Amino acid sequence: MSSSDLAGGIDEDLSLPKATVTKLVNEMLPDDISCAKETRDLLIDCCVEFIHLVSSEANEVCEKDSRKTIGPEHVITALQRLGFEDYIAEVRDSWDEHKESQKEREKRGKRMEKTGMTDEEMARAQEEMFAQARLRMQQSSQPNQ
Amino acid sequence: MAENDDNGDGESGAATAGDARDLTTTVFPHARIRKIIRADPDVNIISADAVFVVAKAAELFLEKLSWVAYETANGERRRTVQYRDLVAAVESVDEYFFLEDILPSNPKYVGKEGGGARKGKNATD
Repeated sequence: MSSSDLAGGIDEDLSLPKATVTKLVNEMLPDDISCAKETRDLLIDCCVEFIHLVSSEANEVCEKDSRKTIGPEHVITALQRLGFEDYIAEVRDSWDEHKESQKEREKRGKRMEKTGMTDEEMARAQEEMFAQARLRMQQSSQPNQ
Repeated sequence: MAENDDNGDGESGAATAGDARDLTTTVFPHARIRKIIRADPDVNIISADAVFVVAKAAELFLEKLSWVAYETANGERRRTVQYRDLVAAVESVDEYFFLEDILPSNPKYVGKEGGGARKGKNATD
């Protein structure tokens, strides 16, 4: 945790990972184009400012909605109010897919619980299945008589 | 804006990189985004889903801003995206008005400090 710069109020942790941003930007730009390091740092600053802008606006939307917790719909309304309507479709799609994948994960978890087996029993059952599969593979690699 | 629309989705240029994009996750760490949001004392509690949506929007924002900046560089036949391209982007897109304070339009202001009202960050990377 970098606390060396707290005097000015800018904490390193309130920024975005440089490697991630670099990768994102490079993927966006054509291969023969590069971004100066200082420019990349500025992009990070802009992005952080954007986050503040959107969350502040979302906060207002939330309060008008008489809710205590900012929810995704508040953020989406905020995006619209700030002029970023063209983000909304993709953001919504993302959110939908995210919800789906979370549901899947929960379902899988519940299925595991339903078998009534302990972790050890499940591990043993899995080993059994692997051993059987291995046997089948060895048998199938032998010439058929 | 659709002149490089290779895949016909209405977006230009390297938007094709988005085709294979995993929509279920964000590239930015969830906890970091939450921290940034919470740094504003006026902001209420925010749900995890809302943090996700903000993170996704931030991804898009970053991509689009870099692209607009690139278009300026490209227009001037340069291969490196520079500070002034960001300034040009901010001046050309209405929604980016909020960035005017971070990017003073004085073209001489280039360097590690990076921002007008903000304390400069060292590029420790």
